[in-house]
This record gives sequence, structure tokens and C-alpha cells, in this order.
Amino acid sequence: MKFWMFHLMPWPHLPKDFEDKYDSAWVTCSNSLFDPERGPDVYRQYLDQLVYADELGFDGVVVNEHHQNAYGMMPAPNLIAAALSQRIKKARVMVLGNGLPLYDVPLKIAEEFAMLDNMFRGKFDAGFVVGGGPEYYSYNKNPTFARERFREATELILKAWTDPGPFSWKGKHFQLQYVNTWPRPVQDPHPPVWVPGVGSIETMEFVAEHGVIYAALTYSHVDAFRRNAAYFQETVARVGKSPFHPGMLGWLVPMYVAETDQKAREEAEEHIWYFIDKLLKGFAGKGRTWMPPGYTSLQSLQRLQELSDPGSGHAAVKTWQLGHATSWDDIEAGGSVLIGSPQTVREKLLQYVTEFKVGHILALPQFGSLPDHLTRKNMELLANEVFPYVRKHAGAEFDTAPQCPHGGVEQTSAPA
Amino acid sequence: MTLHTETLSIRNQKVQLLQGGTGSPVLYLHGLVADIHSLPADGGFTTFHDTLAESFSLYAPALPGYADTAGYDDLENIEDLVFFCLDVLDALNLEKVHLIGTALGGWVATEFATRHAHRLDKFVLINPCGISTPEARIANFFYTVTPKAEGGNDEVRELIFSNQNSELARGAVADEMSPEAQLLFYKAQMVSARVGWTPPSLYNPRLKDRLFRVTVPTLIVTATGDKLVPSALAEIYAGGIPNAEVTQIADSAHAVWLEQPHKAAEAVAQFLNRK
Repeated sequence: MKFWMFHLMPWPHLPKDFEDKYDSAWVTCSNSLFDPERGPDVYRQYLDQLVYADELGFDGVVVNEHHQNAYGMMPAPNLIAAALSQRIKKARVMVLGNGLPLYDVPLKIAEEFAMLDNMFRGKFDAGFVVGGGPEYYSYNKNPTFARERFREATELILKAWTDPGPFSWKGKHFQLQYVNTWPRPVQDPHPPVWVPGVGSIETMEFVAEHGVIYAALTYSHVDAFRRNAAYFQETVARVGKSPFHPGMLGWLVPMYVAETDQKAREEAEEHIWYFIDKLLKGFAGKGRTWMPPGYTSLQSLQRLQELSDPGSGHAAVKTWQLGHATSWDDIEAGGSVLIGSPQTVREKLLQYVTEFKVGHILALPQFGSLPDHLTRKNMELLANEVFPYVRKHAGAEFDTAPQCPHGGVEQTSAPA
Repeated sequence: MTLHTETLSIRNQKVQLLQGGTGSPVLYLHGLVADIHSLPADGGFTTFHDTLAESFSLYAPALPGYADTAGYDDLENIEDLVFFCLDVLDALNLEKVHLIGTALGGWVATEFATRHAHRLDKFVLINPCGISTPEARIANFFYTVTPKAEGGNDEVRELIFSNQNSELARGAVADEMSPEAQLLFYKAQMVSARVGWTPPSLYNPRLKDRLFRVTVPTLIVTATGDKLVPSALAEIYAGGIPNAEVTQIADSAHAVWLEQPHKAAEAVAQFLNRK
């Protein structure tokens, strides 16, 4: 069982009436709302929180890539990871991930991740992502080629890490006469690779076929995750290179723990609403969805149509997202935020972990405008009163390392 | 409806075609959305095309990826659609045709005409994409078709119709579509994005300087109220194509084939029939 601290590094100083005045926190959300006087402190605080996660004994920390938005201010997560490499002592660091299709030369990502693997002495996890719909507007990349480019770039990077160079690559989207990545990764054959998904069949099959780790990055209804987790297990059984193991599955979930259930709500509620009403606006909730034409395959659209068919009974579960919540009851019922006393949260988490067979919890202890002191208290309670309990009770199947052919085996001892 | 659906097989790839009428052959290349092949066939949206089929033998293929025409996966750019037109003409044994192109089809048609003018009798463009200038820019189509979480297609209707609340507009681009209509609409957006997203959006900067190669008599039809393809662009085409004239149709926005089907068909038929 692995517990990670996921950070989005959101901009916490949006105006109070943001959601009334702006149609989205993404793509068109004016950067005049960023305040350079406060920016340096925001980055410093967030970096310090990730370092604190290491001190508290989190197994790892996770950073991620987003462009032109207030939701996540890491357009270059590899820079953050590089900074962390000089401060983090024990924990692993994961970049989840780099948006492969957004770049014309994917070797840049192979190179930077290999550099990070060296700088972390092998305690580094590499995430490959398609990128969200908004990124295709922000970088003006053709969304209809997103999946093809992702697949080809993934194959190229894995080969660059494992086959001796130089070799040439003549693909549909990338052509390179000389692939010869310096440096090579420290881990053998390469860092563990993670691919996030929000439930599409194609992504799950790709993950299973390549034996990489699937990270469910969605703020959907917990029932939707239940179904997706089950579907992922079936997919691994059907096309996977090795049997399903909980270590192949991660789950991103915002979490807040305080001394009592009531106190947790009192402390966190306004910041959760900041997250939902402001930062998710235009992404996973209200507003323009930034789902460009062709980003979703016809196959996925048809599956959505079937699920949304009132006769199928799936509509509410399938389409509900945290961003749609309008009341506290919505948030609690949706189950996509775990909040309450240590006892409440650890029981819920243990239930989900064992039921969904998820071996990596990607906890999001800072969300929206949650201030530093509450974030740190939250992290302390998670590290001391929630995670040890879940780790202890989850069962033996969560303990062994996954046997993934492509980097799923964790390196227990890094070269000194 | 005068037109009927046919299916061609071109090198084992399915091509859906609306076809009908007698007279000189006309190849019609449809628009981005809200045209035949992106609307349900039985929706009553073919008045313009039916009217043309009263005087001509009309062939209206669905471009690859639209409706039931195969080939989306192999599609990369506008050039592929030019080859698709060659394939269709050859499969139909049509050596020479009148070519009509609307919006996206107008872009394909212009790319075709700059290369293969010898396959054309006359050439007609209706609110064509393909050229955009700083003074007269094609609108941000892909932003507009991006769905809103709260649903509704009012912005799409606003972009292509005079009155987004009209029965016609709401019939063609409904807020709540049947799964079948939704699929047709999405396919249309996918193909448009496949060939048109990559910057620059829905035009080719090299096309303007190649217009001199369109050596056949040409008519450019514009709608004065077009908010998607500014009618001022007609002058660029007319300035570049040696033998071109412009007809403006009043009381219509972009979807002139739906809003003024008789006037538009009459203008086109008159031009094509002229000796």
C-alpha cells in the first residue's frame, strides 16, 4: 500500500465573485488575475508542503502538468521535480505527467525524465499523459490526433530508454534519424510508468497491454470509480501481460481530516467550494467543458450515449462529477472527497481500498484555497492517524510489489 | 426528397452518396455542420439540393468520416480530401463536372480547382472556408462547437443562423439531439477538426496565391449575414480567380442553403445554365 501526496498548486487568490464573472478557470481565464507579488510565496509554500510530506513519511509526492489556468500552476512540472530533488530525502517523486502529444519532439521528455531519475538516484516515477481537453486549446494542438500521438510517443520513449542508441524512429507522427537519449535512466529497465485515465476503454487497454500503472484521475462519483476499477481489473485479465495486482491501480482523491467530523467540515468547506466553483469551472463541472472535437473517440461517445440512456440506469452515476455539486450533501454522497475525523476517513478509505483493490492512494491534502496551516495539520493527521491504519488493515495482497513488465516493480534500493 | 442515398465502394472503402436528378453532372461538397450528411437524411433539409437536382444530375458524397463514409483514420489533412474527390469522380466515371463547394466543401473544392481545373466545367463556391485574412477572419468555429456542461447548442446556432431561435435553426441544431443526430453532428466536428484544427484554423495561407489556376467560370455566393465566413472574403476569391463573379444573398447567415434554399439554388442554377 502506497500513500502519495498529490499537489495541484492552484492559484488561491481568485476574486470572490470569480464564478459569476468568468466562464472558466481554464484557457481564457485572464492571467491578469495572477498577482506577481504573491506568486513567489505561493510557490514557496507549496514546495515546502511537498517537502513536509517527505518528513511526515508519505511514500511519495506527485506533481503534474497543466497550462494556462488557475487550477494547477505547473506548466513545467519537471522544474518542480528538479527543485524537489535537492530537498526531498526519502520519498519518491512522481511527475504525473508530461503531456506527450503536446510536444513535437517527445525525446525531450525521455531526456528530462532520465535526468530526474538520475537526480533522484532512481526514486522517480514517470507519468505519461494525453493532456486534458483544455491543453489542446491552449497549445493549439490538433485534438483528433491526441491518442495516436500519445501512443506513438509512449512507444518511442520506452524504446529510447531500453534499446541501445543510436537508432532511428520513423513513425506516423514522429520521425527521428538519431534516437540516442543521454542520460539513460538509473532504474532498470526504466522508471515506473503511470498513465492516468478517466474511464475510457482505450486507455485501460493501452495501460494493460503495456503493463504500466493506471491512475484514476477523476473527480467522478465514487460509484463511477467502482465501475471503472472493476472494468480495469477485467481489462488487465483480458489483455494484460501479468495478473492484476493492486499496485497497478492508483486513485486521486481530495482528503481532509480534522479532530472531528464537524471541525473538518468547518475548516475545509469554503476551500472545497473554492475548488469546485472556481477551479473546476470549465473543466469538470459547470461552464465550457473544453472538450475539443475528436478528443473523445466515436467509440467512447457511443459508450457514453449508452450509459446516459435513461433506460440503462447509469446516467446519474456516469455523468456526476464533483464540479456539479451544489450542496454539501452532493459532495458527501458523491464520495469523491474524503472528509471527517481520522476515524471516519480511515474507515471509508479502508473500505474503498479493499473493495476497489487500489494499491496507490494519491491523496490531495491541499485543494482550492486551503491555507498552509490547515494543509499541514491535515497532512499530519493523514500521515499519523489514517494511512498507518489503512496500511495495517488492507491485507497482504497490498504489500507485495506489482510485477509489471514496464517498470511497475518498485526499486527498493537505489544506487547510492 | 428527390435525392436518394447510394453507397459506393472505392478500393473497398465505403462512400455514402446522395444522388438524383438529370442533366449535366454536378459534384456537391457539403459544409462543416448543418448540411446534408451531418443532419438526419429524413429531416427535410435538402430543399436546396433537391432544387438543383431538378436541373442537374447531382452527386453529393459524404466526405470521409461524415455519415457512413469510411476513411477517418487515414485522414490527415485537406490534401487527402482532394484525392477523395478524384476517387469519387473516377468511381462515377465523370470526366468533367460542375463543382459546388460549401464552407468546408468550398475549401476542398478550391484546393481541387487549383490543381485539377481541367476536370471542371464551372465552379461554384458558397460561403467557402479555405482563405482567411486579418481584415476578414473566419470565426473561431472550434471554440463555438465546444459543448457547455449545462448543455445547449445556442452558440452554434447563433454562429450559422440568422436567428438562433428560429424553428429552422432549432430543427437543424437542436439543444437535445437524438443519439443518431448527435453522432452525425459529432462526426462532422471530428472531421472538421481533423483537417481544419491544425493552425491556421480552417484555411490554407498558400491558397490565395494559387487562385489564378482556377481557370473555369466561377461564381462565389455569399450571404450578407454570414458570421462564420465573412462575406468580404468573396472579393479575395473574385480578385484571384480570373473569371469570377460574386452574388450576394440577403436575409441569410452562413447556412444559406437552409435559410434561402430557393434563392441560393436559383442563383447557382442560373450561373451553371448560362451559355
